[in-house]
Amino acid sequence: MKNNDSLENWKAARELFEDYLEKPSKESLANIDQRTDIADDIKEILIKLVNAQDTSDTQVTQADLSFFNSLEQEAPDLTGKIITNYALIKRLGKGGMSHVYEAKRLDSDIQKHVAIKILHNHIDELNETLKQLFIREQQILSKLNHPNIISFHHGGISASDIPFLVMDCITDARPIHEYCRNEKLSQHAIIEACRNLADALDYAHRQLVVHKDIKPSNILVDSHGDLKIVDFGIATFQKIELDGHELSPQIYTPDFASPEQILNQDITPASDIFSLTAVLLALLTEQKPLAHTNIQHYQAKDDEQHIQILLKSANFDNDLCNIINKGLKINPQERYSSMQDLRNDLDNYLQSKPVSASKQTSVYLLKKFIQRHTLISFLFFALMISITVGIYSVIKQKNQAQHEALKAKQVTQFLIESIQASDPDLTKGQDFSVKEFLNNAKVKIQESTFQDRQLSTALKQTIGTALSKIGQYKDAENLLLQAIKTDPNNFVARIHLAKLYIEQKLFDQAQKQLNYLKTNLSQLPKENRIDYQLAQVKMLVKQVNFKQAENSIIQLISSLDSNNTKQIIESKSLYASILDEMGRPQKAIDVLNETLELSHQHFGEISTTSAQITFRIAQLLSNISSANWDKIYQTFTKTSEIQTKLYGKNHPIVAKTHLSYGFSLRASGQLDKAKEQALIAKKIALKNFDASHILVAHIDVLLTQISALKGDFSATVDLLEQAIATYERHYGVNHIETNQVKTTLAAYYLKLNQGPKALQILQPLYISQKKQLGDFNKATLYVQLNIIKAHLINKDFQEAIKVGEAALKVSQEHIGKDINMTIGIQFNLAKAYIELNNHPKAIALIEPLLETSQLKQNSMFDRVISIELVKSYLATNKTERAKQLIERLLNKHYGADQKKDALHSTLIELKNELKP
Amino acid sequence: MLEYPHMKNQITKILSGKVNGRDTLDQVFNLMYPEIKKLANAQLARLNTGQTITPTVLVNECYMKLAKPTELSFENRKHFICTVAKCMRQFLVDKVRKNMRLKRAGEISHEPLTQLVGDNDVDFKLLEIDEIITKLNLIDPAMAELAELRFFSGHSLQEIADIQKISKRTIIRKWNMTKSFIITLLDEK
Repeated sequence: MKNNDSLENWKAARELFEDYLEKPSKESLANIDQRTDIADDIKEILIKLVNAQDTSDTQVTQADLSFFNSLEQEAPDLTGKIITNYALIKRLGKGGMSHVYEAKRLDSDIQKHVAIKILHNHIDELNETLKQLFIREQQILSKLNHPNIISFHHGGISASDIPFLVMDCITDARPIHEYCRNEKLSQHAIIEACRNLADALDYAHRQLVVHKDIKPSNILVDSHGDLKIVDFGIATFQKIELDGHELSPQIYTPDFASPEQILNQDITPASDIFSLTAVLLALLTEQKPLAHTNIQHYQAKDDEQHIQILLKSANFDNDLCNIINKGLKINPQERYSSMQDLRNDLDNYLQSKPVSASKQTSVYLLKKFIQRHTLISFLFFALMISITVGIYSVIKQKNQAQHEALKAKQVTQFLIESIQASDPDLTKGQDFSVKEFLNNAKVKIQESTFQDRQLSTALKQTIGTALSKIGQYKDAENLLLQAIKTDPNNFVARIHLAKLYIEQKLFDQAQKQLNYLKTNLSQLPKENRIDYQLAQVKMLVKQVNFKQAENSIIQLISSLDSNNTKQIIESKSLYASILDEMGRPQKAIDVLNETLELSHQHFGEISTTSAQITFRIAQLLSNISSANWDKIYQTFTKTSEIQTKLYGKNHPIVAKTHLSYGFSLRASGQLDKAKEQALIAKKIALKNFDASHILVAHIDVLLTQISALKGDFSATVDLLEQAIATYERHYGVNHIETNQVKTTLAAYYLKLNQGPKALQILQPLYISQKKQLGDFNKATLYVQLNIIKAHLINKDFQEAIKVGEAALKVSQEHIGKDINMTIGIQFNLAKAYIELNNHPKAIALIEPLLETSQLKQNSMFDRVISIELVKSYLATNKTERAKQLIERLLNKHYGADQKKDALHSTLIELKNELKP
Repeated sequence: MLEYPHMKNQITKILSGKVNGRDTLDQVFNLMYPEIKKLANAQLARLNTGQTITPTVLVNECYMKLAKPTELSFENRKHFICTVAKCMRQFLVDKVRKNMRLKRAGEISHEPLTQLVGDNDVDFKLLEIDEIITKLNLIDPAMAELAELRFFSGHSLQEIADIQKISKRTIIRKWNMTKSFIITLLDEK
């Protein structure tokens, strides 16, 4: 190369080159060639220089401008190399500060491989202090013994000043964020994992070790799904190494570093808390938890904002948001004061217990309580009251409540059922505590603005449902609609709302709710699904589609699990009602008897459910005239016994039982007994309500019926008009119940021979009943019967026959031949024919009636009807038959010790006519 | 914790005294070099594998940390910048040399290997440049200085012209000369 001589040459060349600089090289070369004053060596150099000028163009320009394109950082792969007494087998991971290798010990037979982390280090001289610090740190780390912390063996510095760490090798390690993503972990599972990590870090903190670099890539998951935290305390070493300089923020992974780390302030266990919370947030949202856009000008506020945005769009539970916020507070002192506290809150959250991060208000505690106990408990009501009174008692009661948890469930049932057992009628005057409470609650709930969606919807639904059970339909509807508005998927609220609408015959609105439920059927829990189906059946019933209702309910019953006793009973009771409406009371009774059996087993003999069923059976029995009156009496007695035991002898429900019994007695003609019952009922009723109460109206109806039957019409009609006014007010003008009473009034008008007045009521009534109940219903037929009678009175015999024939057909088929109703229609039809002098027809109608058990038992019927037959016989010259009939009548009804009445006189008259 | 102001004062002091040639500058160099080394190391430590950093950035960091050139007088600033360039050169060369030494010794080189990625055809290697500059220094110190500034100071030709208080025309001419020498010297190897 160059020696001193050539150096001189070069210097000389340099001088000469000046002249040729920036001149065309061709010329220069030619010139140089010609010169003789230059030594050959120098010439050589000079020529090269000149050429260099040319050739350099693009290349050199590029080169000189981009000479240093970049200094690239490339950590060499050290696989195959040896460090101290470990051989590096495979590179497992690459990091900014270090690489991790799988390694094997050379000097022993230990087969198990370890992991070695080799730090990139840029310090040329590692002074003694640093070395000692490093070693001491490793000693501390090697003492950490926790299933979720990577087992640390030892650390050291190699002969060439390379720091390295030896630890357990994790098989198939995956960083936690990858694991969560691949395994598609649920929110619950992620929080569980973080709780376990908090446990591990808590342990570490107790050993006075702070991790300082918690991030997802430092949390590994092995092939068993176990968590391992790696890279403890490394950061300390780094920090000391580079002491003396403003730390580049990128030393710490900024994505998870706490503000104090970024600002290079004191690092405490609180920093780990921050980072772990950041990891939790990142795993849950699958996004970067912190803003850290501009490290140079770090603004903690940017982080805060970013977190809030993330939380908002993630739509987490309030508690979870509060936990995350607390963990990520900028000021370390505002965070959880220990890892254990964070751990406990996470744990509590998983168990739906209150978390410390959330404000411990009574409303909050209440919500948590409700969440843990899915059945709305009686204690919930108690708590509700407390809220309106004061906060203190809530907390006290809550503690009690937790002990009473088991009892609560049973008490719930009782409360709801006892509300259920009573009619909407009855609760109107009664149970002030419940009603008043519920109304207060209703008002309170309107006034307060619950920020917690879940609490709001739950409360509204509960109170709405309770209100509907006590008959406050409008209020109930309001609240239930609100509950649904707050939470469209509050299915229970929708079911109750549908039931409400069905009750009020608002079918379109009911259908709307049912449709919504239908589309979300898969999301309904099983129990609610059955409720939904029951609601559907009820709707069919109200729409008078009995056949379909029957099919559906039979299907539903067969699909029920034998464990669902409550729902089986509910379904079967509904089935029985359907059967009753269809005019099949006997079958209804059979079903109810089965149900009663079930209820006895499940609830006991003295229970509201059993009482209800017994009551229904009694009612049905009295509709079947072929029934055994003894049995009926027994059943009624039994019912009132149970009810008295359950409710006390002055409870309105007992009054109702007496009333019902009274109706049956009246129907069987036992008028005095009937009146007796009615009066007992009235006495109890007035103890509870005032005279305009519906129950009183019911009783009055019975009383009027009784006095009418006794022949006393004077006070009857007025009393009934009064009762009707109550009915219209209570039920509505076209309500079934109102119609029934109107029918009765019409009947009385008939009795008073006020035909037109009767018809005035009856005609629209018929249309209404037919529409609501159907053609084959007793009530409809009864109206028809009265219409016939009205026509008779008005002497519209053709009309009477027209209605009569149609009604008779239906009645015979659907009600039965030997039933009063049918007999009544038949008889009145016959009367019409008689009036039109169509005696054969009349005879054909009346004769079969004499064979009926009704007539055989009921002397009044027998006499009244038979006399008409006699008249017909006489009119058709069937004198023999007439004679026989008269004889029979006189013998049967007017024996020696029997009363003689007008009919008797008529009979004697007729007999005498026949004599000659 | 280093006190930059302190060092700055020292440098300023030395520089504001009469600049007696190399001795003074050597003093400044000796003072500055350890700091530059640490600063540059810290910078490089920031890098993740595969990440790149330009020497310009590297050097600018040093400027920022050490002193604001504008605080020095013109003469001093010139000297200052030259010294920084010198330090950076030294730093990089040392780094590469160490790596090579370790590799040769069979030890694991854990040093991040700084590779200078040149452009297409012209592949300047750092050590070669270092050598060349050393040679240039023997031929013409002014050329050597220019080359050093060009490659290691992070300044553009224009800025260097300003620092040296010469015209653009002049600097271009000077650079053309230097460039030719560099290429010729490279060929010679």
